[in-house]
Amino acid sequence: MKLNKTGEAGAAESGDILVTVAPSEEPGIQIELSGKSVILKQFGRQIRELIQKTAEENGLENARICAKDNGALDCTIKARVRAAIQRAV
Amino acid sequence: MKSILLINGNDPKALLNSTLYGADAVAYDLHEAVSANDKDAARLLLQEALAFFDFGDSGVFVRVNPMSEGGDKDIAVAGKGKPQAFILPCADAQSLPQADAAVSALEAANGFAAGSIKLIPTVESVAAVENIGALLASCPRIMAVIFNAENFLKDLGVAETGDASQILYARSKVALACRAAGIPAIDRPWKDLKNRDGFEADARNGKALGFSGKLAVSGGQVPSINEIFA
Repeated sequence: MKLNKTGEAGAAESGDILVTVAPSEEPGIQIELSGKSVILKQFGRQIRELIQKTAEENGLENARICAKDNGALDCTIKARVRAAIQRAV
Repeated sequence: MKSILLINGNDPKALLNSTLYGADAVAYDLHEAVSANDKDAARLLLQEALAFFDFGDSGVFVRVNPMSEGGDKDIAVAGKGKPQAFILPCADAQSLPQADAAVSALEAANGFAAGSIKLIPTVESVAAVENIGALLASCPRIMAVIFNAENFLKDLGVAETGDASQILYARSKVALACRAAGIPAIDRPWKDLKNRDGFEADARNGKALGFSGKLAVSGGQVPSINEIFA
């Protein structure tokens, strides 16, 4: 899937995650994850994997994904990544 | 069904807490609670969240946008999470068959049993109140009806005075038609959260007219609704 612009979805509010998806010249999917250090230390790897898996399932190939987590559950992370991708197409 | 609690369909934290208030059903709102720019994201959030959460004994509904304003997309996308019913705003003889067809298409596309997802029309126009008997008879998916007095009075072209006698005829007609059809009638929401006495008096009034329950716009209204309509 080719991205034409930057797409953003979600919010920087408790229980949510703000996801920005942008086209990238570099091959593959680069993920930049930020949030509370205590959450990232415990769940950072799982969140990254979920973002990567969701992006791949939605046909993303070359993209930069910036995610600011605020304690989002898996269903919210998936939904926000999908929405950001749709908005970037 | 006594209480249906409305929850912002694009608020993950509200979704997470939505079943804590003891409502008989939660209704995730894609209509008034969600801005036009966020409808697409909210549909996807509900699709994922409905499949993710365990709602226990609580009914799970999605309030879609009117069929003329994207209700079909709400049904097609959020509906993949398989809610028990869709609440249809501005229901009338035109929009109800459209919603019925959209739900049939959803069921067929996702392997859901035909007729398994229900509709809850919101009666909020003069025409819908006047023709409610025919409306209820037109669609076997209808499992309940919600009466929205605020929009009914707007359609009638009169200002709301706060006097319940303004809506006595319409309210009674909705309650009677639902009783005749054997389905629950859910009374209007009470949006003035500071006027607790007014809210409880209105709930008692609705029960006395034959309503089975009331729409809650806040979790704090649920216990009173459950008690009054018990």
